[in-house]
Amino acid sequence: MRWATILRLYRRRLKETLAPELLALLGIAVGVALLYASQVAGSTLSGSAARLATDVLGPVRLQLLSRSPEGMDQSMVARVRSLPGVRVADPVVELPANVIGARGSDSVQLVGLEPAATKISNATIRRFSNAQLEAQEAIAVPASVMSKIGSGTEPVTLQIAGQRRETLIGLKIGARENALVASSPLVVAPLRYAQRLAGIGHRVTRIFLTPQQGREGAVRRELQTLAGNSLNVRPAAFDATLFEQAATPIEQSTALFAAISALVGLAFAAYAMLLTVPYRRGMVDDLRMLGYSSGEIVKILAVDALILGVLASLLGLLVGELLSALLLHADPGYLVFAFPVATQRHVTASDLVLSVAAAMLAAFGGVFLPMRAQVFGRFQRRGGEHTEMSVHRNVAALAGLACLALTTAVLYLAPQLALLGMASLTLAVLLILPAAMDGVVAVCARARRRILVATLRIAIVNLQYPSNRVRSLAIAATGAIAVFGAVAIGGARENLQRGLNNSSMAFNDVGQLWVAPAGAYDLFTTTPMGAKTAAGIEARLQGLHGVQSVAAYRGSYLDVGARRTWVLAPPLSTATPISANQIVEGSAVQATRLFRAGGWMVVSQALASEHDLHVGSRFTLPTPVPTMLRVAAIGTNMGWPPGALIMNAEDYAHAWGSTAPSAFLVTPEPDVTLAEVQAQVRTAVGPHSGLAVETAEHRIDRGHVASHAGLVQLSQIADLVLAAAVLAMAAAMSTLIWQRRPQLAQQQVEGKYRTTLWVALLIETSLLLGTGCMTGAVIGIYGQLLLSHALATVTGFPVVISAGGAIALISFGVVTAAAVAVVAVPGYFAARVRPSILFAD
Amino acid sequence: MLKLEDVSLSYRVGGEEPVVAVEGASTEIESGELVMVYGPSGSGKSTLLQLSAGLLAPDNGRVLVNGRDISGLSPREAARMRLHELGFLAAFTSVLPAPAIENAALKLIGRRVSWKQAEDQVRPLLERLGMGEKLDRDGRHLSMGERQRVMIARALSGKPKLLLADEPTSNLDSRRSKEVLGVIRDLCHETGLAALLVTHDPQAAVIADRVHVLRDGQLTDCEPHELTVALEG
Repeated sequence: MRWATILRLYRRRLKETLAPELLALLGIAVGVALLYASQVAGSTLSGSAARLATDVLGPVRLQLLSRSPEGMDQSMVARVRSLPGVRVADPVVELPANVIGARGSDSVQLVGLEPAATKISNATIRRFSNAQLEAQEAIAVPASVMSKIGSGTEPVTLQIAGQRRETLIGLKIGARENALVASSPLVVAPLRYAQRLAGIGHRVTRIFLTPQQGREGAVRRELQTLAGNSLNVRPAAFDATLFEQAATPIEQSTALFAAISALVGLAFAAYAMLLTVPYRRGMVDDLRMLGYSSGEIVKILAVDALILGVLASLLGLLVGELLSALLLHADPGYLVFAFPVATQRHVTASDLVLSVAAAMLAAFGGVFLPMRAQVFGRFQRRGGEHTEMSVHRNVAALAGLACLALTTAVLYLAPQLALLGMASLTLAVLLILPAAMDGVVAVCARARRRILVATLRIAIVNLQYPSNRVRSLAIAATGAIAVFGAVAIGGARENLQRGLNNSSMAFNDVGQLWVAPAGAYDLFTTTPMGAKTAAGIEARLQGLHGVQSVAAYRGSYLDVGARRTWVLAPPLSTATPISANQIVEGSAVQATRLFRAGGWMVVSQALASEHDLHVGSRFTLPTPVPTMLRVAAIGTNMGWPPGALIMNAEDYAHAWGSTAPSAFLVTPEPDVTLAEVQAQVRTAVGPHSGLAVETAEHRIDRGHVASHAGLVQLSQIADLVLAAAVLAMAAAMSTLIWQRRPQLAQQQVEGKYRTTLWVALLIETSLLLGTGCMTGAVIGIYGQLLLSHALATVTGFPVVISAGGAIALISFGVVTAAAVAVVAVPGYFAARVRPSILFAD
Repeated sequence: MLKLEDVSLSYRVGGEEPVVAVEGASTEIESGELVMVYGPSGSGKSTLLQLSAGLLAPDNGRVLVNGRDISGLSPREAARMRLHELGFLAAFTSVLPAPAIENAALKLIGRRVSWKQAEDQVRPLLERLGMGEKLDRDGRHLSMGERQRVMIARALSGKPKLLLADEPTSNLDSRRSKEVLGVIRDLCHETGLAALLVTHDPQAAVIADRVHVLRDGQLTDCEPHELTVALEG
């Protein structure tokens, strides 16, 4: 059979099958879009982090890195340059900051570079001499930051290390200069100016090096000697390694959620495809009777699948592209406080190939799997279907229970295999649903004799029609899977959010009133204030009559192996330095006692596993002054993916060789209200200090907002699944109702009113979707537990593990009600079908 | 052309007792011969046709088409035989949302001919069946009787040697019924087509060369004038 002939046949058939084919296309496209958008988001972050250093500085190979946020003396640059084999050595200052413009603010990294070193905007910079550039008191701002802060020629404010500085924007780095940098959260300034802005004198945070050809090993050894135990020698792209490690848990959780969404999307597709089965089955029967060979029929079906797959791929990629650009865009969340991560979209070939392959798999599977017996087997005698169906249903229900058992095993024995567990749960939903549906229909049928309401009786009779069963099951299954996915994803996200909120509370509750650098960039209070500023502030605060005590809080990031850990060092006087809900192994009471004794720390779980640490173990931290501390307890990562360390502020000062605080914790006198003290402290600090005076409660709220923003992708995925579910079910149900117009016409002939038929359709829809959605919601709660366990185990996030009934009820209610509401319109028109369509002759 | 030798088929519904659809059926239809099979609903008429077309395999006995045992053929060979040597008209066939002439040509395009060649071949058949005015009408907009004639044209397309038809006149009025049966009768005479038609319509018996009655799966000979008595049992 010629391909042109097959295509013409396809076009002809499409007139009749357009609605179900479009529905199947939509289902596949939804799955592909979710898969593609989440893939692109992952590729974008990791790809950008890897390229940023070389895009700014060129082909540097090594770096000498300060272990302290206060950096190292600039004299080290000359010593590095004098090492044999060093071709180029470029000092860099890098500090987190907040840039405030006319329209808003943004968290950035201030990067100070020697002008000759930078590659950014070569064309622009080369017009000036080094001396001219050194004299510039302006910063270069990427286009992405400019669009957020909305500044032009007017001065902008930089909040940095607890200070406020006014400056001008001298250069906008657009995509033409450097596309990656243009989308990065950093501002660039000449080195000396950056040092002045940060008030750090002649200090730099790292030195990037390019060794002479073939001398890298020797230079590394020399550097190691120079670094001793107070500096780190690392590859130039080490930040990319750190970022990859830090982003992995977020990417894992997003990928897990996205994979489940894609699973849901492809299940929509598979079940939407079921609506096309009766048409194809009729065609295949006719062709076989006419004498078409299996090969010819396979060719005809392959064209169906190919067209569906190609169109669904295109639509899915288009929708996915829009989703990834507008909604599920790559968001590094609060990792941006420690890493300059660009969000320039980075689409890889594997993102495209995987998405198209998924679409093709769904299309070919959806076309061929239901047809395989019909195409390749003997011509089937129809009969005994009811009994066979009952047997299949019971076997399926048993298999569904086996899937639940498998999921339980995954939950308790290997939560890291959550994806397998979720696939098994999805299968359980599909396998148990026929029994649940038949159960509901049987109960309704038993009650039918006692029911006097005509509409309800008609609805129950319609559900009992064997000819409607497969399609009804397909629609109920679509709803079941969607609600299952939404409950599992939404519930796990809520559990994660609650866990992060608990961490935020545990971190901020160590003091009643915080005086810390203002701006979102210092959410974790990891930037030390300048020693002079700190001393002045402390003296002023001590003198206030409403203040009982002022204590120094210290904190920063510390690179331990490939982890940029978050160090929290509350003052010794803190009432509850370690919250019981953040302890994974050990006792909070004991840990608090040891914290006060000094020389002990709480280590997060992943870090402890990596270094085989247990309660009581000794571990030497790679701090500026390497210090051995003992493990008082194992804790969560406090919501910071690479891990967290909690020690007292005195131990911190010793290990970092600096008494510079990151914040002051103010305790009010007992007879003075917190609000009164806050006002006094604000006045004492002054309006232009760059410090914020906040209550613990306010900081906790800020933490909630930040963690919510960090999880926004997960919320969006959960919402998308719900929206897709409503659309898919409404479309599927509308198609089913439209196909049933002859049956409705027959019922009119039998004397049923149109309104009665319409209401009966709505009741039938409610029963059908309600059963499906309820099955999905119940099993979804189990999925929520599994996902929460997986998140806690795999990512180390502080997840609160609970089964949320509310989200299950809401998802069930929203999907069912919305789908019934949408179906009401086509149902109304279908119920008004003219009885004359029965009499075509 | 078609020879049934002691053909039997039974099937089982769930765990119940087997149902005998056809039991020991034997008959032979020569080229140019038109044979009618009558029987009440559920007597096994459609099963007999499907056995004859190689769509079902008998439990016992043989079905020979043009001397070849069709039940012994592979699915591919049986399909090839249906495409090139048989015309099969099923009781329920769906129409394509396409012009009548394309619906009629569907069998021929399976023989790797172009749509145009296929349409050229079926056009005279459709005209002969009274469909000349409605060649381009969408299949979905044809009356049931018109659809029936399009399907008969489809079955007769490609000059089959054997026609197997299940209730070919079920949707036709008596005048059309006579016309359509007359066309089949004439084709049998003109081309040597052998035809096995299963039907309820006692009027059709008058043009048949032979008549069989199928009751409870058993095939018996019957004279046309004895048909009413035979059917009433």
